[in-house]
Amino acid sequence: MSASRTAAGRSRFLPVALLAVALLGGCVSHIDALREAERGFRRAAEMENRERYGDARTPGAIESYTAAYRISAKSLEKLIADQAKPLADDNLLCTTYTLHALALWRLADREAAIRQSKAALAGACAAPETPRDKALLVALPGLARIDEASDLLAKSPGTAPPEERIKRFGRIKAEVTEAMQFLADAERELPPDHPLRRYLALSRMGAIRIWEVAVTKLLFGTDLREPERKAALQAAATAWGQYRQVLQCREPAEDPARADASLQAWSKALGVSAADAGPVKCE
Amino acid sequence: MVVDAQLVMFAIRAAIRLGEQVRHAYADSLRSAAITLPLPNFPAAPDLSSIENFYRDGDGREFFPANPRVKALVDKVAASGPAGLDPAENEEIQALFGEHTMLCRARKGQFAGRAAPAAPGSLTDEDLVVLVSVRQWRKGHDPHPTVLRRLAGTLVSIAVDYAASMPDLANGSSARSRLLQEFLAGFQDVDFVETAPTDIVPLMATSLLDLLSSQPELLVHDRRGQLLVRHAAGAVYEALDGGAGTGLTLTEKDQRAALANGIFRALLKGATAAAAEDPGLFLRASSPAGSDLLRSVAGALLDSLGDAAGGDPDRTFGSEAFARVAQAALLAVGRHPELAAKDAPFLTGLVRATAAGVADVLGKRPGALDATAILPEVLRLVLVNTAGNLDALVPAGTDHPEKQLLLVATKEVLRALAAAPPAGAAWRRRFSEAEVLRILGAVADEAAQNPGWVAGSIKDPLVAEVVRELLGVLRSAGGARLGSASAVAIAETVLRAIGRQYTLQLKTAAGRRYGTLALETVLTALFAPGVKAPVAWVALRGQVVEDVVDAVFAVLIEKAVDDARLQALGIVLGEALPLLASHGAADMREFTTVISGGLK
Repeated sequence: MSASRTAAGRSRFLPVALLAVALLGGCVSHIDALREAERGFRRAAEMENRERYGDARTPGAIESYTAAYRISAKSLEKLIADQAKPLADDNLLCTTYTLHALALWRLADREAAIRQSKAALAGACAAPETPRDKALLVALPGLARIDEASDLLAKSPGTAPPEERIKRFGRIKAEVTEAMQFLADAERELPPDHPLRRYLALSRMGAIRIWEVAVTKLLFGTDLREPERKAALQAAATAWGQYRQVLQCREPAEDPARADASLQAWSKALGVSAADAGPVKCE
Repeated sequence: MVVDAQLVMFAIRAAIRLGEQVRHAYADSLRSAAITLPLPNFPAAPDLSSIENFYRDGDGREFFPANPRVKALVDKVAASGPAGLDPAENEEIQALFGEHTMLCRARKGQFAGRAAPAAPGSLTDEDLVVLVSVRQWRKGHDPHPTVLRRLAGTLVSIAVDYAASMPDLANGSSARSRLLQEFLAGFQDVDFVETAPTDIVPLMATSLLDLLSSQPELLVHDRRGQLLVRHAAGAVYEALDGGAGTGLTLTEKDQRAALANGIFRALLKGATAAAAEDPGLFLRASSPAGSDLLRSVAGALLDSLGDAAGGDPDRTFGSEAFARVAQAALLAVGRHPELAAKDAPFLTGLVRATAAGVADVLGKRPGALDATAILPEVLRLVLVNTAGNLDALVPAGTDHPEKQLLLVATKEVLRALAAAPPAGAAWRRRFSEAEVLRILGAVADEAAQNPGWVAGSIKDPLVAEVVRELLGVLRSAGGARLGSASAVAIAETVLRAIGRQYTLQLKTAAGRRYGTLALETVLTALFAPGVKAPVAWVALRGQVVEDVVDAVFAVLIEKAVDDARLQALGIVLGEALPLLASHGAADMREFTTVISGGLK
């Protein structure tokens, strides 16, 4: 008797439970969609970073991460178009804009990425509630300029006449200088110990590497070469010092030995003397 | 009908209320989550610009004037660009740069420790994995700081997946719902720290729900089960959080989380199984003080099995086998809390030494036996038998788990069983994993009942010596058709007989042990080339051989052995075996009587 009562109760409760689940599922679909897009973006970024800067190359990786960025960008675009209201209600619209702008940037649609970042900063991301997202949007035009400078460097023939090489160098340096300005603007949006500073510091050193390589590749045999090499090296020393400051003072690494390895690797690539920098002084 | 409508409305309201709260938590978790950022494009690898800076203004400036070759090559780059160097010169300057960089670093002592330089042309793992993964808020400023809030979205997704098959999860007063609440409550007050291993919580929630769906009666019956779940979850989380987790790669961290989750499952299964054996222990495990017990076992398994399990222990060892390991560890620590005292981590050391010992022995005979099948049972045998004989088996003290006598004996016996048959052996069969474990079980059983088997020598205990001798006799005198299962049964019989009859473990004046000589006599009587046809015929049946050995050693247990009896055994077997064969090998009682009579 009691067993049959329990069974009846269970059968009566099942549709109610399923209804509850359906209600719950329905009201978070925009969050689910954003989460999926964010996961796709994260996977693509991990794959791209490893492919570009890791010590092994994987066949088909470029196609894979490009496709993942594209899928992520499409679904974020659709989310912004269809679900802006519920996303704003849940304080997720700024994050959605940020991911979309970043995905467009990685798909080399730099103008659209910058347009999206400006739109977000003027609207959904105007308030300082999500510091990482806001600072990333401020930095994004700078990140796009680093890519622009990198493209220009790759396409510059080292065999051109000196005037043409100097002209090309000027364009690259202008992109790098502007990029560093945007990165500095982004840093001003952040509190001193925010983890995004690590990323911005890495990007700044990357920009200076383009400058250094451009000096070697384009300015040989000209009077501009040595002063530009010194200027780039000076900028590199400053950037490396800031990076060390972030790693060792503001955001101590989980594993100091790994942080040291990173500092050594960057000191080698930039040609900066770690000894000349002296001991780090944490505020 | 009215009741049904009210029920429906109540459920809808509850769902909406729940939905609101859950939605906020879900959104918070997504906004707070770290995202991986792609780096812009730039030339990361050191190149000629790096080299020139190094020699002209950097750490290598002393080499620039001192090494004319360096100066010549760098000047050439300045004058003619990278294309000014031919391939050989380019290779030369890169090699010089590599040497001089290393020299500078060595002078500064930068190669000490683990700080290895990045691979050529690449950023370090720290750059690629850690530094580009960025949270929304800096440390200590996350407005949603608890683990539960951080993981709310994931946990809800998991529960929704299971709700269809377990609708009573939505009923707050159901036993399963209370159990899940108790599990979550264990994390309610854990402050979120970015480095804390939060991924383990959804993994454990999934494990718990899996257990509840497959074995609903397992833990839900009373309050003690709920507390056990809470304590086990807390113990595993603490072990993972507090263990040696720093400096690991992402893959290693994933493996450690998977191992911890396997330990959580094993603790729940093991604790409920242990409850049947020791109800008092179950009471302790579900009491506040009992969380120490679970914590120590979780910590010991996590810190010692990482290499052996390689991630998911269920996949490596089998979930039942691993649960038995946890059960054995719980019983061991439950009965002897000093095994896991904080200042004497004997248990961790014992598990680690056992895992290392098994891997060491079997690693030297690759392919002979599967370590993943052997290790859990060896661990269980060592742990269970340690608890019962702590003083006798740990004479070197709990500071030296590697000298636990049973562990040493087990390792040596395993080494003998895994060894290949010697050249010219008559019996060449190998033992399966199950057969090896049967012999090890007999060894552990004997040692637990009589520590004298293992107490004499730490390097080579008596039991290992006897097993080696038994194997030697089986290899030299066993019939080619003798099955390995029969050989195991024979070894078990002889070991038990030696354990019961002191004179069987003594040696003759020629240095041979009476027990192994007796077995040799029996096997020779059955398998020697010249035996009579009826005897050779019945000896083809493994069961008959086992029965004959059983009968002979049953008689020898009753009568002390000496040279005369051993000699008599050969004679009486020569009479009794043909008799047995002629009776169709069925009358073992008559056979035993004849043997007994002949050995007066």
